[in-house]
Amino acid sequence: MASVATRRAYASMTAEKSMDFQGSATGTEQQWKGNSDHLPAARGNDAEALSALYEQFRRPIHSYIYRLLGNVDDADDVTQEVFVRACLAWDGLYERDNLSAWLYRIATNLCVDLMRRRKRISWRPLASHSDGPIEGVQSEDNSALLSDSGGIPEIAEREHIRLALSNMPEEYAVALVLNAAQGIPYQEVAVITGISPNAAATRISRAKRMFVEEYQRLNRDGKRGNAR
Amino acid sequence: MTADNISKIPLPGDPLPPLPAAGEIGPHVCEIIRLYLAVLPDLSLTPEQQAIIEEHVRACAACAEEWQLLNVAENLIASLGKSETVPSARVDQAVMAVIAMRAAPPVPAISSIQSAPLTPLAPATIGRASRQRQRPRGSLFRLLSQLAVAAILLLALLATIHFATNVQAPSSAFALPANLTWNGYVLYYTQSEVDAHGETYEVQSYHEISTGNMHVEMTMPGQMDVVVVKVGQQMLGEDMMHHVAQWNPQGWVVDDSVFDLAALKSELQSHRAIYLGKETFHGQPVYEIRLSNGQVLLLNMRYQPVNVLQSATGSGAATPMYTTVQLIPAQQVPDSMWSTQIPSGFHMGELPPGP
Repeated sequence: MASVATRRAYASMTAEKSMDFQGSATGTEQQWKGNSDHLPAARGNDAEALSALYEQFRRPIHSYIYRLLGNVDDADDVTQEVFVRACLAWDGLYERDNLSAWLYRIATNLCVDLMRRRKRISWRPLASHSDGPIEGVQSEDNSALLSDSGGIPEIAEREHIRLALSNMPEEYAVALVLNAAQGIPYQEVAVITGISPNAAATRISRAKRMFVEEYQRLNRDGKRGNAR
Repeated sequence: MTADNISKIPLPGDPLPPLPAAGEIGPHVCEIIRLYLAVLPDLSLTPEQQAIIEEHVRACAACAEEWQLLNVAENLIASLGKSETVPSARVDQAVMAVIAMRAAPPVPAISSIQSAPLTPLAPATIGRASRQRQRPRGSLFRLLSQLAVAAILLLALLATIHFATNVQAPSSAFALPANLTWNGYVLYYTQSEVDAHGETYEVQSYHEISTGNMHVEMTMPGQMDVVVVKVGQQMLGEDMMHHVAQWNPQGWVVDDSVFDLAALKSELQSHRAIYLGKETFHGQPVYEIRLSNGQVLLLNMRYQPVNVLQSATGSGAATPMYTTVQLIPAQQVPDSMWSTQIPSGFHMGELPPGP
């Protein structure tokens, strides 16, 4: 077994990836929290505060959305929607101690809506009647890119991971990406997703198991497909 | 402090179940240890607590396997984190424009709307010590004022165009092709609606013309996501947020009878519907037909629905009722759209009242 110390070192690494909104990178909740105190909001200048908020969170929010949706155009659209909504709701926002959680929550709600819609509707392209994917819609055909299928390994691996994520229930994919890719501790995942910390830990635990099972299933299917 | 007594105390700030005592075994112990393993990087454990977990994992093959699996998952997902993306320039511009618009000076002409009640988007509930404070809402009012001015100008422009085209509109003979049918298509449309509380929600509807099957989704981000599938006389409602299903829920049916081709033919024959002439709508030529209820149906040059203009008001303005209207060949829509099978994980219950 790898020691707990090894795991904590890894936690620091995941936190570091989100340095620009965490302030420091020791991987604990305290360091993760958005530095809303540094925003000019405290000085009462809304335009300045919103500009600073956007500057501080545009990368992590866009990356988060992209990791969930796997499509740059969708990530752009949803990021824009997140910040426009934030601007419109700003005057009515009384609690500004945890703006990062607020933004992540808006982003999560929008992404979940989009992911649910995608799952229910899988269009076939107009040009042909094959089952190929269309832009922005996840499809089983992505398995052709799996790492064992001879594609570019790094891209194929990323597609493989995304495909496994997209096959999971949305709430589990969200918890997993927030925690393991964004480096957000489970206590904050609880705040963002509106559940108790204990439930968030349980969800992350199940999500990790689900993800590996789905990833392995795709691997097996990919190999079987190649063998044929 | 011994491992025994620390194990009974929940970790500060980590409301997980207390760690079991060192050496304790059983399914409940594995369950708790696995929970800790899943979020281990987020925990601040004492050396004693670490020792309890490590000792258990060394002794329990199933938990050791779980530990490996968790590491695999974490490493794979973390690899996604290596590639950070940034919003495109158009997103930056759009957001900065909204911020700048908030800061723009108010428009005096319609400052009276500042007394109107506001319904800002509900912010996320943030579980930290809150600062209750009243903030001036001038910026939002300014934004609303400007949006209102823009809307009024747009309506005025539309009204002018509409009047102008109506004056010129030929009332020459118009008839739909005798063999025209929309069977074989699915009518797809999206629209923004307002509920009884003044909140906007989105409607996305698929209506198979030949069978009458419908699949309608109504969403309000973070508040509502209800799917209604109607097949024959049977209707299944699914609350996607709470995983609740209900047969024949009340108040969730949408009315798209404005797209009923048989009724349109009948109205045209009996002159209750009037052909207004050819127009251009969103860059494409359309036939305009005023229906008996005052709404104006727009058909493209293949006699397929494009949109519906809301009944003209006193000002003459007519606005599109739908965001998108499209006929999609039925074979391009998966049969699963009309499935009334209750999704796994859903339980039967009662849907909230329809909007």
